[in-house]
Amino acid sequence: MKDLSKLLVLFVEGDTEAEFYRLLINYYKEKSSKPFPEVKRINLKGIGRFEAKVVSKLKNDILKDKKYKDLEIIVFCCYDTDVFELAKKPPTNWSKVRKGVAELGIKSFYEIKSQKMIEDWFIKDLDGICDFLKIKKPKKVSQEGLKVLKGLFKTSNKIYQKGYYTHKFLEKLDLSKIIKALKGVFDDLERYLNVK
Amino acid sequence: MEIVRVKFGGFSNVESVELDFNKINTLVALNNYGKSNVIKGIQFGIDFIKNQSKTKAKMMAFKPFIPYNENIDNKPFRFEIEINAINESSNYSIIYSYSFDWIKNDKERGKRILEESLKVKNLVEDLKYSTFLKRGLNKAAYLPSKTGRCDREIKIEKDELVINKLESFDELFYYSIIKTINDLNVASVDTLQNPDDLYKKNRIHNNENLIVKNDYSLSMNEAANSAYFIYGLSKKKPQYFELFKDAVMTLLPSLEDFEPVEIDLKETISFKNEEAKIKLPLDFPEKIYDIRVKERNNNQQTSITSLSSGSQKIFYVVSVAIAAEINKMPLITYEELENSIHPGLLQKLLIILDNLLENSKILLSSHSPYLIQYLDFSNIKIGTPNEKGLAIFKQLRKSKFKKLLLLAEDENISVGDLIFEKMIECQSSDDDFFNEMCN
Repeated sequence: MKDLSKLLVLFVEGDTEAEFYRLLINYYKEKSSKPFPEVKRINLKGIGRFEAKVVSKLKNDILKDKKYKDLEIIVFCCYDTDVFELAKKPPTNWSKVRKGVAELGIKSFYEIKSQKMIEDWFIKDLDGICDFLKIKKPKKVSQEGLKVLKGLFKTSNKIYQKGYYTHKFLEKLDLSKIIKALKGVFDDLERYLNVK
Repeated sequence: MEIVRVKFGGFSNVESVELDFNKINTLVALNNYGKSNVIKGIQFGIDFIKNQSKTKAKMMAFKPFIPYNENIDNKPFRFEIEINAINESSNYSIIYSYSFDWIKNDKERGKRILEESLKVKNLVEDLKYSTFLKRGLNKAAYLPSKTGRCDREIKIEKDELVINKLESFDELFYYSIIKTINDLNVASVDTLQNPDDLYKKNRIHNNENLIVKNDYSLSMNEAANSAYFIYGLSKKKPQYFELFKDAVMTLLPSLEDFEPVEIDLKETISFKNEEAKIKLPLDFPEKIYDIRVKERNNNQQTSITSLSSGSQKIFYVVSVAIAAEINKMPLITYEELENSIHPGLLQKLLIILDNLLENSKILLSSHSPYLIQYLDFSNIKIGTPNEKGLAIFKQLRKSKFKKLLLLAEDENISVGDLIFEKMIECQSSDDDFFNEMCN
């Protein structure tokens, strides 16, 4: 059953994040017994500034589309709170994004922040990662997800590329384990997906 | 071994430049400011240490690098390198330097080594550096024992370095340090203006192939012979080949698969005589190499030479990085890495190089704001305009990093765009932006 009253727009920062949120939404959809709204994921990857891109995408791809005319638009920006060494500089100013979205007349704006990086979430399910890489699960790992992933991938003669790597490894992750470990990070999202 | 710092000058239009090396380091400048000269100067300085006296004499008269800018035309070539090395389970900081006079009209005054020095500090035990070697114009001395002083004289010619001579003193207590300096090496990838030529070497047709290779070599030199190197990698270091394949496939998602191949020309012939072959002292290997690729939407596999220039370049850039890692090269230089590579791929390529290279540091020269925007400020050296026409590279001040970010944000551009905007502005006016921002 479809919830025809709203549209959720999720802005993500790269391929890895786009894939993670695709799987997360599918996970919730499968669990849901209530009407499920349409969710549009927009990957901001590229060479330009994200602040202008978010506003432009909403303005041109969403608000001008007759399909979404009467729907309540809810915007989620999903991002890391920490920047990795080779990230684009300057980092995205999300309060500028919030302001730009409000100026478009969209009232519902939420942020899903990965503390500090989305990789810290992924390593909540080390079994899944090691299963994908076909390696033995290490007894102890650091709390820094990116460092852990880089090390584990290298053991398996692969290179973990932050923001780009997808290659089905996320499919191996147990999302329920991650959601449980993150305690409330997805509360707003769950509420609008009618799965809370 | 880790290169910590290089300082050199009196080379081409470089008066003096000092680079502190982090993992990824970049030289940024407009055209004709001397980025390539800085890279060439480092290579030259290290090659000079390794080469024999005859070659040293030629290098001191090598026209393309003799400074003829009137502001520095009398400057000798000076080179100083700081290295951290672990030898005999101790960690040492080594500072080695030398200088020489370029060839002159006055034959007595030119083409001669002027000074040389080696200073070493045990990073665990010592508070200051000790002198292990010192040399002036006519006199050279070295430290003969742990308890001695640096006063044992050694005879030296004007085109000889003491560091090379000491390589035959294998009883010296710091022999491993002498060896470390003599073995210094840098891997270089030039601008690759014609990547299409990289894989044309797969046939035996040049002098290089007159050297008999009856085993797969993964030495740094072989990396230039890409198809042969990649085939050897698959045979001798399969784990590195897997890493190489993973890197290339993610950089080039249009590839379905690829495989290096070797064809033994002698095996394809009908009159081969296996029995006679066993008795031969050397059965000349005559083989050709290629990389077969299958691209999505193509109905068959083809040679790597059918790929675009950019794709061939990616194969090459990654294979040189793997070669540098295998051969523990302390430094790998890439001139204008961005050539033939679309801007969206640059971050991915940087991540891959950063991940691949555990032992080597990277020095890039770049014209691309797209590439610069991903780099840490402390790793960027900016070529600033000056009236003297010299290559002057400045380091951004740490205290100005925040201001740069704010400026870029205000203008809604990347930091890469901002740096190039300011370089262009400074070129045509007396703007002192970089004086304020840089050391």
